[in-house]
Amino acid sequence: MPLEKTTQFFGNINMTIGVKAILVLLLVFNLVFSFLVFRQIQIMGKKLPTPLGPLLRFISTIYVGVAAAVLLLVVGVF
Amino acid sequence: MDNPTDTPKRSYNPFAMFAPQPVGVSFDEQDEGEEIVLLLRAHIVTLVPAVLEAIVMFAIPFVALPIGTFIGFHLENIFSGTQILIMLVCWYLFLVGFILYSFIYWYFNVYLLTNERVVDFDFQGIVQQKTSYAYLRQVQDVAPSIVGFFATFFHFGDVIIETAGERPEFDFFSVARPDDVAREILDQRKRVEPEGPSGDSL
Repeated sequence: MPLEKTTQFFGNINMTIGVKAILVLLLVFNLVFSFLVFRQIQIMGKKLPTPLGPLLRFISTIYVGVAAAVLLLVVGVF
Repeated sequence: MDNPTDTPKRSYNPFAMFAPQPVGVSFDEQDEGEEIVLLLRAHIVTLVPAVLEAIVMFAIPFVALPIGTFIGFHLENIFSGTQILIMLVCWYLFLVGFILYSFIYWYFNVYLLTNERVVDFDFQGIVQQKTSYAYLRQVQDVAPSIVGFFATFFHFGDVIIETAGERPEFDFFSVARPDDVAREILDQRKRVEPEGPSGDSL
């Protein structure tokens, strides 16, 4: 019984590390994606100023911040 | 209703898909005295697939977790409560990114008709965007088309503009009231170059 529990324990640790690695990879991609969205909104805001432009810029800035924060959270806490 | 001259003089709606003389909108290469007559986006119905995808993505954790428990896959035996919460946060972060991208893709794919030219802001994905112009006097033919059940029901379709410019064809995809758009383009075209005595303007 203790052997089974030990095996299960190490299995779970491996699974946790695997999930963490996948999450970090996805979050890095997401951070790059959020920067690109931010830049696109900035560029389009200059090319085609609209009343909604500042709000979209604000939302995309928040999104970049949250994406970075979640990435740090996963690296540090997960 | 269907005649553009019957529509409100100016559009104040920032989300409008058919906006005559939109307030607060300009573009970077706008000439002095050039006015935006019509701003067009794809019909709001074209966003329905993205909205449905977002709803499904939103619901997946609520459905998948109970199903996992039901078939004997207990996530809480593998991960701690904090880890499960972090995974949920990541999932919804991706969802927000998807919604934001879908929205800006729709919002910035804009077609403009000014009193001088037609402008196509083509937002082709996250790292590519293109702007094309054609002067109204270069416009040779305008062909609106409404094809399919949903397009007929919601009254949207494509407007294909043939020009004598560098880019031979402009396509306004899935715009609302394509027949009115075509009529307005032809009206503006006539204003730029009034019909001659032989009537061979277009």
